[in-house]
Amino acid sequence: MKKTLFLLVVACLIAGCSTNDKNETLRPKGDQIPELTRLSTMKPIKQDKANEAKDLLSSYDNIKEIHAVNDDKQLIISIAIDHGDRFNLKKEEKKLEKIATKHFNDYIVTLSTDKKLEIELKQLETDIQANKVAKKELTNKINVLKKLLKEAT
Amino acid sequence: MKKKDKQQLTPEARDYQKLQKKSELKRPVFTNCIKAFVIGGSICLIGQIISTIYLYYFDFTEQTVGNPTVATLIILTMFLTGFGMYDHIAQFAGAGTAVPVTGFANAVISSAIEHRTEGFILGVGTNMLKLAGPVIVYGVFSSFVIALIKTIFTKWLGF
Repeated sequence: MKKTLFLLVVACLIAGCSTNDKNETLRPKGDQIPELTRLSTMKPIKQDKANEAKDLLSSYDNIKEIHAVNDDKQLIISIAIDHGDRFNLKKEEKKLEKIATKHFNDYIVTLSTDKKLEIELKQLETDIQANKVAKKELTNKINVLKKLLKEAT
Repeated sequence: MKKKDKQQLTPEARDYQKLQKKSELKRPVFTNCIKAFVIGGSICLIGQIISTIYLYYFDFTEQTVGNPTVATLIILTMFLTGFGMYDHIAQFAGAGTAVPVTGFANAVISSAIEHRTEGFILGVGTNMLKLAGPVIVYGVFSSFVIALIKTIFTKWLGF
């Protein structure tokens, strides 16, 4: 009896933790619309690439929220994935980064699912909208965020 | 007692076993599990709150926030153990307080407090990890085994 129960629990755990089919992890868009903020495309800090990235990535429906900011050479994107899909977080991150890098091949693309990046980019987007950030300051901020993401300990 | 061992007993011994079973206090396994779940979960919730605070107000990412969170929980446990409060919580929650990192911290700190009268080297130094030592040994060993399994599956078998 105990053995059967143990096997049942193990089977349930394995079934629960198993990943979906590889092609199903990035599904085409359904009813859910991810939360995204459109930024100004006017000079001096044109955010058209950031907006384009949001449009591109919002076509995948396991994405909850997208935040992106760009300067002349770099594009930094933060995505929040649906809670149920967080089992495949690294895989999804890699796939989405590949898609974004391929699409914006003239930009240095950084994509992460890290919560810290989400918080910082949300704030940065608000500041850009309120014209509180200068161009140089934006580049510095992006560099700081990229450095922060590389930290391992 | 196992079924095989029971069969080898004399009839008198079997009768005694039955009598003893009648007067034996039953362990409240289900209640213990609930208590452990609630208190253990609350410790994890506190840990999550601490890590969220670090994420929002300090320069930590999800990757790096674990270390300061664990350190904070250990410091909190240190105070609770020192003031004798952790014992009461542990008595109530059982495994709920032993399994998280706070249980490990409690094991180290309480041993250090207990043996402080024997001196810092031979007392605290020698006995501090007596209880926590097996956790480190088997923790390291099991991570080695898991890493080995993962390496076999991901690098060699290509899963």
